[in-house]
Amino acid sequence: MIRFTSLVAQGAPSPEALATYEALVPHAEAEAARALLSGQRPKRLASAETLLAWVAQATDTPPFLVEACRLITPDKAELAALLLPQAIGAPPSLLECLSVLHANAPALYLATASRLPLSARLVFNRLAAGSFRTRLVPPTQGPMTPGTCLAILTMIDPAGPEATFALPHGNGLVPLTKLRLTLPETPEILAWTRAHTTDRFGPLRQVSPDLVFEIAYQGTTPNPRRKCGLDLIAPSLTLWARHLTPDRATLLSALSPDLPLAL
Amino acid sequence: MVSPYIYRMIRDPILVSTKQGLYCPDGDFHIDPMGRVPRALVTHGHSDHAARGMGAYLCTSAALPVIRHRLGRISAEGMEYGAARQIGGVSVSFHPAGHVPGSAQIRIERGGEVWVASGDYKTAADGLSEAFEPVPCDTFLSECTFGLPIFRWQPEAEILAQIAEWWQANAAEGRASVILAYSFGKAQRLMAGLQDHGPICTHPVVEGVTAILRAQGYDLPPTLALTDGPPPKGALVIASPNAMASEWALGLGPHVTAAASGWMALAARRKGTAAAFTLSDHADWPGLNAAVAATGAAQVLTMHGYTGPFSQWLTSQGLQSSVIR
Repeated sequence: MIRFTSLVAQGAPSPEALATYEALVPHAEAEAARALLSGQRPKRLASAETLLAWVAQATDTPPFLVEACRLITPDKAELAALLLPQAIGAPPSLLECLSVLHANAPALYLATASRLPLSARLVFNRLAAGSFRTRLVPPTQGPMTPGTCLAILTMIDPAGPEATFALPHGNGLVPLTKLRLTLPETPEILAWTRAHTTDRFGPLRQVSPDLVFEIAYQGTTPNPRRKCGLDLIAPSLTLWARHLTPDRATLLSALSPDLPLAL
Repeated sequence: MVSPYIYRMIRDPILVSTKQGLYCPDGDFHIDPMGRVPRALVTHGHSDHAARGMGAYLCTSAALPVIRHRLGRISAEGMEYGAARQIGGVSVSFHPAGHVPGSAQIRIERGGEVWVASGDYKTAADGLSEAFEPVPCDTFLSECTFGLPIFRWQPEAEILAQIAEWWQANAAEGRASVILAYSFGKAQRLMAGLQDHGPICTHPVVEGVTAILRAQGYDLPPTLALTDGPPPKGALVIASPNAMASEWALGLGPHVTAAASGWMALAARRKGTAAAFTLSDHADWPGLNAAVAATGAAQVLTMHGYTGPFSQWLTSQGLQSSVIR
């Protein structure tokens, strides 16, 4: 389970990471992992709310403390993972965790979750609650269409440095992806952002939407939970199109044609 | 039914909350005041406890050099841990809090009644800060920065091993590892715990504090102050979060950034960081509860952090407890 957690920690695992994982685990476990990564949902054990109730009862956490914790950790699967004490005992395998989902036994769930370190426990809770998702680079979904787009820099976190890029849609800009600034011009870009900061949100700086960058990707996959309606698969920042103005940016409709104009 | 003893603790408290901070009427001093006062007893050198502008400062001898470094010319005096001094109508002593080097809890005794103001504290030893010592008392004023049961720290050795692994993976890819941490306390804890894994560089602000602690005799490894230009290949760079928003960060070359803080326990706080390690200088939930129990205090007043829920929890456990506002 810990290896599977590491595999999905960065979102969509690369084919290389998947191959390395498969070489390390038994065949049946590799098959189970592939099924999960291709979007197959395991049997749901219980809702996240129920998991949280089991954990609260097992740890003697009174309702007022659960509510206080909920204010800063609204994600119930995460809260249930955090409320259990530090892991004790040998961590279970992915197959063992999946078998627990079929048992419908709160005590077995608690015993299994208690043996997992926090990050793996969170993935286990998401599997148990039916909310596990992962940006797989899927061979089963046919060939992908790699492409490039021209996106506008809108936000920067100097600590990465990590930048948010957006595409024009309707009358505004819609965030597309976040990427680390790895270009050779990064110092120059950072200096520019300091002079063109329009607002601050903690460490985040909103900058005037003037700079255009080329982003390459291996494909796209629909994601209705995102405002832009899609995830880029394996995006990378390829160049700073310093000669281009924002009106030359790719329209979001080119990548996500079904998205309504009014968001 | 409140016992007569607790009734006295409530009706005639040794410490009261004022606009400037905690105040001891019988000793006429404040503890960790933020507003200007004539006499301040200071638990440690972080800026939210040791502020400028006080008439006179009293702290541990171990905390004094960093406080002087940060506050400049001040009238200040240091006391050894455990030594008692009469101030007005109370006897005062400092006791290790395990938070950062030199940090202390402050014990105040008046006619046999004992109150302890915890300052910031951490119950798990880190090998650098003077280890936390529970001080028996009647009333314990406890910080509760992480006073919720979702905060449970992994052992420090496991976190340091994770950081070392991350650092080595970055080095193998030809990138420097930049870890963001408070310049006093966390930064030195990291360099002390990671010194066997490769060269360690520091932001000049971190280096300034480190040099002072090194001169005091704290066991810290050699570090290279990074003024400009990239760090040596495969190095770990320790910097405060502010440093990454300055010109200094432009010279780092290819690097990966990680944050080290207790807040990294929460997924929402980890968002946007390339890597995150849950390493705190404060007590976690089990640590807070163990500390409270070890004092034997009948009354616990909560301050800093999740004061309301922690106080309610202590009340549910049979203690007299309220929030200091």
